[in-house]
Amino acid sequence: MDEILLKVDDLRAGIEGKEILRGINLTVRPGEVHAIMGPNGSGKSTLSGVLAGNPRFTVTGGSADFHGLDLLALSPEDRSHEGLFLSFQYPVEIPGVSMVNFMRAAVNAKRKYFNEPPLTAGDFLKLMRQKREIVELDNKLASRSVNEGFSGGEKKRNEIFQMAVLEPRLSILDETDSGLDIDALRIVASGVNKLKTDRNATIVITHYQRLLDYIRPDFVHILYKGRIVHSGGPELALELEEKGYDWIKEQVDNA
Amino acid sequence: MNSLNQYIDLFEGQRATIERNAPVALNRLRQQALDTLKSVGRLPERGDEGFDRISLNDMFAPDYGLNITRVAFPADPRTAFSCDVPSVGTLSCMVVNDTFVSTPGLEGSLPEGVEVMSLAEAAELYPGLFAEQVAPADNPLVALNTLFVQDGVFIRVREGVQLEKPIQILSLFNTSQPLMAARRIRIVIEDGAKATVLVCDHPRVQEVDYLACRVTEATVGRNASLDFYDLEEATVRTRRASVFASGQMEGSSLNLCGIFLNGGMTRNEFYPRHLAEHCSTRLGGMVIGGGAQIIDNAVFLTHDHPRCTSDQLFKYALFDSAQGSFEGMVKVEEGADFTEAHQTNRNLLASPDARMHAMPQLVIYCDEVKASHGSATGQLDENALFYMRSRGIPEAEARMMLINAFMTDVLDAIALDPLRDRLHHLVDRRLRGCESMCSGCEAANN
Repeated sequence: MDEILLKVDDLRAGIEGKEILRGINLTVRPGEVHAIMGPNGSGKSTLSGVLAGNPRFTVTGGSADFHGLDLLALSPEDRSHEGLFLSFQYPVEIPGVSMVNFMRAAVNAKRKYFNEPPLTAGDFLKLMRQKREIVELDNKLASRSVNEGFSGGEKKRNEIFQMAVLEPRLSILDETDSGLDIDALRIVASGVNKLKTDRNATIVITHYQRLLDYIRPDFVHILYKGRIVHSGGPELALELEEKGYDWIKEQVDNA
Repeated sequence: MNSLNQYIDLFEGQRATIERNAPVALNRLRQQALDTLKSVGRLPERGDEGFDRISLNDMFAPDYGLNITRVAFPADPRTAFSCDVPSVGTLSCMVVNDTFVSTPGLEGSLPEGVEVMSLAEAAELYPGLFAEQVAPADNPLVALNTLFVQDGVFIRVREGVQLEKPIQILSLFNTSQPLMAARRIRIVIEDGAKATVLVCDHPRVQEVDYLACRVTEATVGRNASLDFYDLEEATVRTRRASVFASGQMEGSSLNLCGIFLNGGMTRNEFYPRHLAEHCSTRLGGMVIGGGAQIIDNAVFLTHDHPRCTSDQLFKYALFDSAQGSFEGMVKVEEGADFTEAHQTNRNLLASPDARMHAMPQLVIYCDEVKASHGSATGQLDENALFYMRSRGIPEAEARMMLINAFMTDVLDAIALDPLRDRLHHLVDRRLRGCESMCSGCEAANN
């Protein structure tokens, strides 16, 4: 397939004058699952933050094309409307904003972007109900403030729930497995798998191979010192699990 | 310039006219007020203790003009609207400029044991209730009000009467000339009674300078309860100096919430007093300030009886070059054992030019006390903002939702659901930048 969903070319970015991403190249096509792995501090979360448009990071070079759009020129909200979704490593608690209001604002903002009328109350509730089932999210969480008092597992399920509602074309799961027990991991992964189609794509950012037992990647990339230093198939993840990152570090540092 | 002198001169020159047009019970208070003002000599200015952001001297400097001869302003029938809170229905009356105006049907709809009437009329009927002021007589704002007050609203709920419907006082300015109005509200909740009073301050004309000098006095009887909600939705040309004073009897509760959404310059002082044990007092305040608005709240609360509780929560969100000030003094006197007193102040500065002055103070002369106070000023949580934007919520809307959320706990103290919802809606509209008014007011303007 030649259609390209995301093409990142020599992307450089940093925070407070410190360069973290030093030339990332990555091409993602519809239907693909990419895993990005790497040791702590290699720039994994920076990459997801930069792609989602977190204003904390400054892009210093390179480009990112998102189905024909200049991704880096879009506001975070427009990136979302255009089909980019970031599942946060640490979902933010927002006291005082209920999940229902939050989701309604998100859904209707997207509809407005595409010149569609807001959903009726009935349709909205139906949508919420349908999508909640995908990640077995408790109904009672809907009336609570966003992520406030949610357990670690509930927070991550809530991320996948939001992903289900927004139906992104490209989902970036940033360390979605961190803080999850094995049952929660299974539920989250099965939610992601249910949402997978040949039209959308997923980038899974993770430390461990464990998540990849549940979400099977087509490609595995190793990020180290702000660059993708090695790419391969699913077997690369297994190799990392077995040998750790040291051999990669040695290869790169000695090169 | 000493702006106080013009008021003293005006009073001394016009005293006969003022008193001829006002009830004897109010006139009796004026000499003491005059003496107070003469001994004070001047109104507080910015920089004086307790006046970090606001100058009362400046506020009172313009020559507004007072309606001391009681010229009747034509009561436009279109002003006979109500700010009905949906599905509750309110008993409403109006103060137009400085004069009480009953709304049609009010009298017939008042339940037995509930009086809502002109203050002037009440002062004639019940002079005994006006012999002593609840508000501190040595306070210059109270004294200024006392010098000129001729009318206002009187509310009495008789013993044991539980009034579920809120009583609404729609307080309006409606003149084409600048005007200062000395308004007074006197609320009497007798033993075991219960009432909710909502005051809405609106000007009807946008382009005229107004000054509202208001004193609200409330007495809450044994085991009685009063919910008092005060909404300011005015214009940049409106100035407001307001004093709220209350006296609570044993086992009574007072729940006050001030919502200050729009105005030019506002100074609110609160003097809640406990006159016996087991009183509970809750004071809430919510400020949304923009433009060059100045909003100043000062609380003076003294615990001098045992086993009383007080809880204060004041929150500000300031935009543009708005300035806010909160000073709260909680004093627990010797012998006020088992007092529980809490004071919280939280502020959001949404622009680099907005300024906040906060001074929560706690003075304790007693051992058996549970007390806390705290103040924090900061900016919107950038992480929350980005999280919302990453879900497609536009930045402006996300900011608005966060500020609304920040204010939620202040509004949560409002017991009536429909009223709370309506106020949430008004806050929403205020944050969206609308010159919002209650829906009833809007309907009347169309």
